[in-house]
Amino acid sequence: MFKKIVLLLFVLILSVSTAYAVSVTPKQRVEDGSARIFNLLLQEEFQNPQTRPEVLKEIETELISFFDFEEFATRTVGPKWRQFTPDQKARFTEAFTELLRNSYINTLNSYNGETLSYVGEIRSKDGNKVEVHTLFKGQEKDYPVSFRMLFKNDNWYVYDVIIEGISMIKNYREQFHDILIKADPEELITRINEKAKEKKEETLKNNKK
Amino acid sequence: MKKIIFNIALACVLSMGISSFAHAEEITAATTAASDDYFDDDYSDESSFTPHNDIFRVWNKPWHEINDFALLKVAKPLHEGYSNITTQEIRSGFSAFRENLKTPKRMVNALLQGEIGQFFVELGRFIVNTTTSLGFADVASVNNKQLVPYHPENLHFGYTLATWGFGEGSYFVYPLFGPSSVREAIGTTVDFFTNAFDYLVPWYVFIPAETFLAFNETDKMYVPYEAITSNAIDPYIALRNAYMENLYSTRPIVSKPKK
Repeated sequence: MFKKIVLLLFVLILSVSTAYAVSVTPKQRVEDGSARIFNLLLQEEFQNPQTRPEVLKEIETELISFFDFEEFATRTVGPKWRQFTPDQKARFTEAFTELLRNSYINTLNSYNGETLSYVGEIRSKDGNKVEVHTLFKGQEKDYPVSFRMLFKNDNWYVYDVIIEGISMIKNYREQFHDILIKADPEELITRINEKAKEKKEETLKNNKK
Repeated sequence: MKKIIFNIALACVLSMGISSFAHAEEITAATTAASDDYFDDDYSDESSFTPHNDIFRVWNKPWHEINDFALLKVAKPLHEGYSNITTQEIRSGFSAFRENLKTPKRMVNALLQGEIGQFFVELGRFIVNTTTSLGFADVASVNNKQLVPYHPENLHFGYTLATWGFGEGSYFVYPLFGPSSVREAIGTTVDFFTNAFDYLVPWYVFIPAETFLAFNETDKMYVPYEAITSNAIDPYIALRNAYMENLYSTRPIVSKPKK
């Protein structure tokens, strides 16, 4: 009898936990993820230059659990991705992630308590991808912002952000396509590394002001 | 004992049922089905990528470099200085004045697009804003009770051409005015003839006044410009993609005749 109860309890816990994992909808994921990051940005510790690095670390943890940078990076290359060697793929992903990290830090400063509100979503036929439409309420104007997400490891991850119809993946893809017509993957990686370095120096300069 | 087991089993079934029910409801709330090629951004998809049409690249690229310099090295520092000596109220007053003068252009295009509601909204706004403040304040928007949804951003000739079924055309960079496309450039030229300001004052007043009014809101240009180009590996391509994608995303839904 006792065994049966234990078994049933086990089934119960299992069913509740899987039901919970499935029930995190893309909508909840976007609302929850953005709220966490916005909250961190509003903290006083973020304004204080001394405690700022700690908050930035927390924001980064949030971003890593919310975005899939690898999916993001591979999609920016497009069909030419197959011509990359495994080593080039790894170095490209690292360089591109570094560029994204160094670019967004500067934009965090301009956050002023704006909010995101859910508008709707479009799902792919197999149900593994979804585009969540939101409205970013700016000071003077509202901006349509969409998140493309995919279902991976029992959760939804953002792999593209579309602001006013401009997809970040497509924007980088068109740039990389233009470079890869004339140059090899090595040169592309070098150029991304250079840009990432340039952005980092820019951030250091801004922080000194 | 049996009762306990029954209760646990019931709780188990209920919890599953409730959560999956909630899930099902969430999905149906605002979900739209995607067409086959909607999520075409996988790197494995060969057909998914074509760069934007850019037949004027030899002309566009040098102008892009000149415009970049003019905007970020000349206009931006000047505008930052100007912002220090003026208030936000003054600047948005001049902006509203400029927008109000563009009313005839928007009314003409509302008619050409068959948007009769927009035509009367524009007429009403023009009367209210001009009589109360000569157009320096957007009084008509104060109460914000809209009978007809107001979308002034579509009331220009480029969009009118789009509603008639014209495609965007190639990317085109204007000297100093920046990115455009063939269709939008034609639109801007046609709209120039319905600019009321030009008819009200002689050209030697119009040109400096219009230059000042455009300069007054330069921040509307360089803020998004920097957001697009500052993180780019190739700013020219990044701006081209952003301009064309944004244009494409705001296009009207035109039903094409079936072949």
